[in-house]
Amino acid sequence: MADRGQYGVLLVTGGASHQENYGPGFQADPRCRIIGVADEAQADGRRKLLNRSLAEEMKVPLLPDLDAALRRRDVQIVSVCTEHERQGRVAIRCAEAGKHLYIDKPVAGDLAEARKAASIVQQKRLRSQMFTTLNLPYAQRAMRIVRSGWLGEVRAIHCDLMFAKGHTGSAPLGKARKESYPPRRFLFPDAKREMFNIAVYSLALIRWLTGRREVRSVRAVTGNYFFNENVQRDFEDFGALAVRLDGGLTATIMCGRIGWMSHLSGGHNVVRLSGTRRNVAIDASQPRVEVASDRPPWQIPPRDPDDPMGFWRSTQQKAGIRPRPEWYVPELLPVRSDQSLFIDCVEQDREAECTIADGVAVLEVLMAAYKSAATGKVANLPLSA
Amino acid sequence: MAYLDWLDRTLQAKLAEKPVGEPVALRFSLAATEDHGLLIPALARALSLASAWLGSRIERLYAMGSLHDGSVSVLAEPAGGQTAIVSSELARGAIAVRLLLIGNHGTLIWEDSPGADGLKVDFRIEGRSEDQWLREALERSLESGDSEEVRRG
Repeated sequence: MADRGQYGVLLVTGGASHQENYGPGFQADPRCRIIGVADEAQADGRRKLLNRSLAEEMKVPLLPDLDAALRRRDVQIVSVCTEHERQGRVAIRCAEAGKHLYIDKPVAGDLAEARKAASIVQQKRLRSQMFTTLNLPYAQRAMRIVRSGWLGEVRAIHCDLMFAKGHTGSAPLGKARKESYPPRRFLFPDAKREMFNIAVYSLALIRWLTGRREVRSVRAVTGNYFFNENVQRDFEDFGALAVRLDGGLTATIMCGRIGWMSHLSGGHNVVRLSGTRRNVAIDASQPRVEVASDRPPWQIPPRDPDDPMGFWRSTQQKAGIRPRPEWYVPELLPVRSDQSLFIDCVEQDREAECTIADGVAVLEVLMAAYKSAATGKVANLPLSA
Repeated sequence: MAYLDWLDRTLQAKLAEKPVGEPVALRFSLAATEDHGLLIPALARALSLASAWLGSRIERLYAMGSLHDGSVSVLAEPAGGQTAIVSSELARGAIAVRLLLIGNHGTLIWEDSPGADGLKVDFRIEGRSEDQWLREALERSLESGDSEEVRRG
C-alpha cells in the first residue's frame, strides 16, 4: 500500500474515454489516491489535450511519460482505458511494471496482446479486473436467481442490450453488411464498433452466471442500421450472436446503439433465463415508476461535433442531458462502484469476478463472432493463436 | 381466432403506420407449449411471423438448442439485410410472448402472458406452407450445426 495508507492509482489516458467514469470512481474511494494521468509519449495531439483535460478536471498531475510514471513506487494500481488499438500493448507495459491492472472493456483489440498481458498478470501474481456491469442490480438479481436453484438447471440465456443514444436514420438500408476479419480499428470520435463495445457486457455476464463455462462456438451477424457515421467508418452499429457453451448450454445476444428515442431510459436491457423448471425475464428497467403528465417532453440532445454519438460523460454533461422523465427506476439492490470492488480484491488478495483472463476469454468470443460474421459460418473456439 | 394470428393482425396494422421507421431487427421469444414435439413447429411459425413483420423473406438461418432441454433458438437472416433472433421454449407453467422489434427510428415492444389471468387462450400452432420450408431449414441446421439456406418449393 502507498503512502498515507492509500493505494496509488495511475490513470492511463484521460478524457473522451471511460476513464471519465473510472477515474472519479477510484478518486471517490477513500482507500485510493490518484497519482496522475499518464500516457504513452507518442500519443497524438488530440489525445494529449484530452488527457490534460481530465487531469485538470480531477485536479491531479499530468504525467506525460508513461514509462516514468510506471517506475514510480507510489503507484500500485493502473486504470488502463486507452483506445483499443493500443490497449493491449499498454496493458503489457503496466503488467510488466508489476502494477495491479484495472482495465476497460474489452481488454484489447488484439487477442495475442491480450493473452500476453493476462499471462504476465498471472506470472507476477497481480490482481486484475475488466470493467463490467456485474455489480449492477439486474446482474446481481440474475445471479441470485440462478444460485437459488428456482429455475432448475439453466439451459439457455438470452441477453438484449441496446444503448439509446445517437441520432438515427442516416444509414442506408436494404442489404446485409459485409463484415471483415480480424477487425483492426475500433474507435473514431464519431463511431465505435458496437458489437465489440456492447456484446462484451453480455458475454461477461453469461460467463459469470454459468460459472465461467467456456464458449465452444459462435454464429454472428453484424448490421449497419442506424448511423451513416458507422457506415463511413465500416463499423457495425448492431450485432447478433448465437453461442454454444460447454455442457450444451446455449445463449443468444442482441446488441447495438440504436438511437436516443429507442427507449424511455438508457436502453433496452433484458436477460431471459431458461431453466429446466422455470423461465424468467429480468428487465433492468423494472420495477419502475411510470409518469404520464403534461410536463415538457424530453428533447433529443443536439449533435455535438466532438461526440455525435454521446459516447462520453463529459460531452453529455456539456450538453446538459437529463434523464428522461417518463420512467424512474429505483435502485433495487445497493450498488458499489466497480472500482471499489477491485480495490476490495487488491486489499483482500483475491480474484475479481471478471479478471483479465476472463476478459481474454470474452475477447476471443468477440473475435470469433467477427470471424463468423465475415464468413457466414459458425466459428469454433478456441481460435488459433 | 388463434392467439398468434391475432398478434400478427395487430402488429401488421400497427406496422403499417411505420411507427418505428423501417424494421431492421427483431427479438421474438415464444414460451407457448409444454410439448417438446411442438417446439420446432412453434419456432417455424414464429419465424414466419418474424419474416412478415420485418417485411422480408428469411434466406438463411442458424438453429441451436435441444428439444430435450426445451429450448431452441434461431439466428435468422432475411433477404433485406435485417436480423432476427427467435426462440421457442417450453412454457413451464407460464405461457410468455415477448417481442422487441427494432426500427431505424425506434422500437416496438410486445410482452404478454396469455392465460395468466385464468382465461382460456387459443394458442394453436397452425402450420402454413412457408412454415414448412422454414421447418425443414431449422431441422437441417440443428443437424449440421451450421447455417442453412431456406429452400422453397
